[in-house]
Amino acid sequence: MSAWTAVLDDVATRGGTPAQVAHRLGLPGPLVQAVLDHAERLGVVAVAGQGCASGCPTGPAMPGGCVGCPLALP
Amino acid sequence: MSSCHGSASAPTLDRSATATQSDALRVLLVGGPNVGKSTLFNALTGARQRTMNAPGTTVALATGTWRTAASGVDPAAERAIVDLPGSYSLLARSSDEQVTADAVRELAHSTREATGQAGVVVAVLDATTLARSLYLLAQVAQTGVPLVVALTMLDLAATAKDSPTAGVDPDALAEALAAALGVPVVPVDSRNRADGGMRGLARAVDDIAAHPRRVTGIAPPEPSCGCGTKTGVDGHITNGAVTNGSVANGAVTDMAQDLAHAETLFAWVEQVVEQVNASLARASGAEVRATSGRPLRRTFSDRVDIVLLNPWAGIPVFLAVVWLLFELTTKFAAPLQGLIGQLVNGPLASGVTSLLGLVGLGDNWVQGLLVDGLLVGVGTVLTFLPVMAIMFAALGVLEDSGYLARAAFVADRAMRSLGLDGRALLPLIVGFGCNLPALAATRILPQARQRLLTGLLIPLTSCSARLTVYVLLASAFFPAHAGTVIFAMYLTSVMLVLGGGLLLRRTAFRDVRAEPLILVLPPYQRPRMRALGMSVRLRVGSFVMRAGKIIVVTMCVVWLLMAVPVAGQHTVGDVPVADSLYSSVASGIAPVLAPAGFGNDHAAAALMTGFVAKEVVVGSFAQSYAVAKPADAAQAGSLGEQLRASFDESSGGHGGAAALAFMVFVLAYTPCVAALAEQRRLFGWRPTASALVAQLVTAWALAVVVFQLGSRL
Repeated sequence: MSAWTAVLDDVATRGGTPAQVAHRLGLPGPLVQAVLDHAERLGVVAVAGQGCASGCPTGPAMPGGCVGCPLALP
Repeated sequence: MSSCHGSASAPTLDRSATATQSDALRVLLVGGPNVGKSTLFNALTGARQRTMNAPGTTVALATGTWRTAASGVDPAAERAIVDLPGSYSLLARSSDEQVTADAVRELAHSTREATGQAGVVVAVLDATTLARSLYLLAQVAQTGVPLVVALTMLDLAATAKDSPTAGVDPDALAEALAAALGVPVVPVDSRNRADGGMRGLARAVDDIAAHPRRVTGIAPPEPSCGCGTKTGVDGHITNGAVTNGSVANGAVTDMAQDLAHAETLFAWVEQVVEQVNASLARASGAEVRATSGRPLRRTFSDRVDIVLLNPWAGIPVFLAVVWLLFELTTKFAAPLQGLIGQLVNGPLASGVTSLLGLVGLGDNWVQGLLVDGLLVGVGTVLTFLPVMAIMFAALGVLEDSGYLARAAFVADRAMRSLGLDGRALLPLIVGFGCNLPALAATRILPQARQRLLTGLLIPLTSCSARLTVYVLLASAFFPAHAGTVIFAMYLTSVMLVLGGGLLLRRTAFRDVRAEPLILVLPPYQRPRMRALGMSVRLRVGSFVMRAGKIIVVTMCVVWLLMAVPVAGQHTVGDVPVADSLYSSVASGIAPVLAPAGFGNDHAAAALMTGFVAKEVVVGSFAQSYAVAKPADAAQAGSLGEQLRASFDESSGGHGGAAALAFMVFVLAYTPCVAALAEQRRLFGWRPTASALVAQLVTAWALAVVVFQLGSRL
């Protein structure tokens, strides 16, 4: 199994930070970070809770759909 | 792989940020942030550099002239060098990264087609994070541009205390890497004034410009595709080799193809890493993992997550945290709410009444509108400021600490286990703040049917406006357990979303297929108090402004409805509530609500105005009780007492059950007119009308069930 598949499978089933995934799989941290970064750019990975924890997406992470919402911070 | 993602603005020759006027060889420095790229640039150019903006952007680029002699004999050849913005990937996510991606692709195109100035990319690789650097290198190589690798941070890699590269000879590492890549790899030390590898780098650049070579394992791009110009293609992969693919301009990304390409791309990275390790092992006679980098150390976050991400422990812990949140919120907010209520209904109301009397407007409809209508309604909503502030602050702490990310992960896993799409989680989470942006956020879902399914579920998420209703009724009917009741309402909301989702997925939405979306978690951190304070201030301010506007307008409309007589001999503005248009409409609705225990005019009217926005429900209650209050205000009691009296009366003495049923109704029926309009805009009239009917029927049925069960317990 390639690092790509292994990392995504592990994150999907067990969850965790990149450090946890690297530790569990015995893979280099930079490689795991590169995999997750690429997957995030493809739109198959998101950082949990980022920007919308209290229902109010903020800053650059604010999706277009939230433009104009008074509860969303600029 | 459809490899055009991230290339929203296609690079073109005339807008190249990096072309120069002279015939000098063009050199682009490409690398991730903080890999020593700019230090290398400064070392190569000295004072011969200037800064300019990339055309059409505000991204600053440093350009300069590199005159290092390639050998001791040759005169210093001149090269035009550009320090491109640091980038982890050619799939750009920012304007900086886009400039880098465009420049590389433009150079690849002009080199391939021989239409422009020749050039070479110097890929700056950080030896301490080589796997990540190789990922970027692969993408650059896929464009077909001639490239040379400059290996930096070798001193750190070799001497770091717990580095796996400790003790590895930099030259041996560079040789091993060069053998694996098939292109020159030059160790550089930009701080070394003697040379630091600059001459070697110059030789390699001139050599590769004269005799271009491909990176091993990455096949050349197809000459006819022209993709480097139009779409910024970074390659297809077949049979383990990376090849440039032909993709039509504006082609839709095919996710399956993207995933397959990514698989092969990282397989290539792993392959290079293994080859380098094997070369170093042969050279040293021992097992070496020089290029792999060490697995990251287990952190505090890792240890905490063993518990919090455990399927059996994570959900109970999350529920306990949320329960504690509501308990603390209601407990701390109660005294502050009392103070604000006393201030508004006492001195402020008396002051306004006196003032109106002084200007000759006392004891008429103006006083009724301002004091019994507007002031009471707005004042009641103002009492919820402490609740909102504490709630926002507590959520901010959970968010900033990284805990809410764990909650999202646990929820995501629960949704997946039920067969729902994890991708829909994000709009649903947004829905707990406000349904309106949550509906708009469904556009992140790739399929129309997914968007519709999620859009139908979002109104079931309990938005912050509903919280004001829960707080009022829970405090009035269950003062000792208000937090628990509010917690139960949010739990009910989650159950409704899950139940509704399951039902729809198994009936009308069987065709919806799940798209992959995986959540990664940020590490825990100490909440930043300044950011937290600013966040609370802005959010509370926004809530007040937004709620304030809606309340003022709606309260005026409600007062007008109360001022119009439909029975008896009354004049406009001097009408007992029982004879008003307001009461007439509410009386028409109230019998329908009787099986749920809240078939009284006040509740019916509040639900009616709540159709406009849920923030208005509390104000509507306050206004209708204020207008209908007896002459002796002391007999009326507080808003809570008045609510208990009318709910007890309409429910045959089961006011608590009726209040619970009312809250469930508020949770399940149409969130607000604005959300309805957004649903219509996104999904059309038919699904919106169907959803509206379904929401009203569901809300009524659930409220009846809750009351009937509650009144029998």
